[in-house]
Amino acid sequence: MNAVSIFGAIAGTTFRALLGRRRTLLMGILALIPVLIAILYRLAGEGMVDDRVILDLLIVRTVLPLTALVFGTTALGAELDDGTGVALLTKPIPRWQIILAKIAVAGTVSALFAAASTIVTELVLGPADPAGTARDRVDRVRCDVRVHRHADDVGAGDVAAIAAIAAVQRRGGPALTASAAAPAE
Amino acid sequence: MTSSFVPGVELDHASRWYGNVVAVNDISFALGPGVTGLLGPKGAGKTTILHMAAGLLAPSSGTVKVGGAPAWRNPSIYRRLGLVPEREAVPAPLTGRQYIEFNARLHRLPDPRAAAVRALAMVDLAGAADRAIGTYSKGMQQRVKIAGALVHDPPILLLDEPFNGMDPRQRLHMIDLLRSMAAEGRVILFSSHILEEVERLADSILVIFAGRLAASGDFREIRRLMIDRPRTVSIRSADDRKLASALLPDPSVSGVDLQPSGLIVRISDGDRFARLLPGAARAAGVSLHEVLPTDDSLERVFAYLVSR
Repeated sequence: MNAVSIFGAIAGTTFRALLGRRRTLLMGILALIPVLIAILYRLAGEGMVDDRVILDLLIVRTVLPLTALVFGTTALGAELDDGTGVALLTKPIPRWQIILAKIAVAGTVSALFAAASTIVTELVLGPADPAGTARDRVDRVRCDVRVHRHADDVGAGDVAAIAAIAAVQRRGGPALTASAAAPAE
Repeated sequence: MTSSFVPGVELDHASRWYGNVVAVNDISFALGPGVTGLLGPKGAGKTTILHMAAGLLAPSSGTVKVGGAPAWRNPSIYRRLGLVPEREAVPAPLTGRQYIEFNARLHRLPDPRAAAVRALAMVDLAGAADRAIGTYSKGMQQRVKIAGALVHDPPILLLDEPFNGMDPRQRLHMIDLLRSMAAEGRVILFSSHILEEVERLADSILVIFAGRLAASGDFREIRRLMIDRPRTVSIRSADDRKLASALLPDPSVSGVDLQPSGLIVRISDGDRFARLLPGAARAAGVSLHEVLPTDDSLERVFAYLVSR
C-alpha cells in the first residue's frame, strides 16, 4: 500500500510538471499537424496520397517519437535541472521506484497525445471514402494495428530516451549523477 | 567519546575529483551532536563534501558514512538525514503545505498532514502555508526547503549555505532554530563562506580551502589564528618616506616597502599596529590620506591557514 501511495505522489508531481502550460501547448500543436494535413488532404480531394501515409509517416514516425522524447526527457530532466529533484532523491526510496513512476507517467502522457492525434486524424479522414470497400476498411484496421504496434515500440523507445538522457547528464552535476546511477546498474 | 560512539557523519580520507579537478582532497572528520560550521570560500569544496555526506555523490576514494552506514547508494540513510541544498528550487505552483506534505508522504510518515503542520510551524511559515511557493520571498523559500528537510524529524541535518537570501531577522530566527535543534541532540552541519555566520552559530568549525581541511576544532582557537596571522597594510600619506622611518622601529612592524603608489607595511600584530599608526603619524607630522588592509579577503585568510 505504501509503495502505491509513493508511486502516486511521484506520479502526481511528474504529471503536473509535464503538463506545464507552454509544453502542453507546443505538444498540442504538434499533435494537430497530422489533423491539419488530413484536412488539406480532404480538401484537395482523394487519391493523391494514401491516407495511411499520414498516419504512418506523421503520427507514428514523427508525432509519437517527438512527444515521447519531450515528455520522457522532461519527466526526469526538468526536475534535476531546476533542482527540485534533490528533494526526491534524498528520500528513503529506491531509485528504481522513482524512475519507474516517472517513465510510467511520461509513457502515459505521450500515448494520450498520440492517441488523440490518431483518433482526430482518423475522424477527418474517415468519411473520405464514402464508397469505402470492405478492403479499405480492412486496410484501415490493419493500419490501426500497425499504429498500436509502433506505439509499443516507442513505449520502449521512451525508456531508452530517458536512460540515454540520464546517461548524457551524468556528467552534469551531483544530483544528476545520483539519479543516473540507478539505471546504469 | 566512548568506543560505542557512532558519529552522525564521518568522512575517512574522503576525496572527490571530477576528471583532473580535485574538488575534495583527503578529508577526514567525524561529527557528533551539535552545530558544526563548514567554512570556506566559494568553490572550496563545501558543497561537494555535503553532497557526499548526503549520499548524492560517491567519494572517489575513502569512505563517507552516516550513522555508521555508507552514505552512497543507501537510500535508507534518508530516514535519519535531512539535506537542505543551496541551489535547489521549490516547485512554484504548490503551496507550502502541499510541498511539505508531499515530502512527508515520500518519507512514508504515518500522518503526513500533522508532520507538515509541525515542520511549517518550526520554520515560522504556518501563516503562509496555503500560499503558492512562487509568491514566497527568497528567505521564505529557503525556510520552506528547510521544513521539507525537517519533516521526518531527522537526527542529522545538512544545510548548504542556509542563510543565503535571508534578511537579518530571518537569520536570527534560523540561528535560534538550529541552536534549539542542536540542543535536542541533533547533528547539524552547515556550510557558509561568511565568518560571522559561523561564529554566531557553530560550536566547532571545519575550515575548507581548495578542497583540503585547513583547520578544524573550536571556533575561538581558529579565530585567534586568523587574527594573529601576519598582514600587510597599504598606506598613502603626505610623506611616505618619513612615515616609514617612524613606523619601522616598532615591534608590530616587520617590514616596510616604499613604492611610488604608497607604502606597503608588513605587520605581525594587527591590534598593536592599529594603535600605533595614528600617534606615529602625528608625531612625525605626516598626514594620512588612506590606510587599506591589502589582504583581508577570506581567500587570503584561508590560504594562510592552509600554508601554516
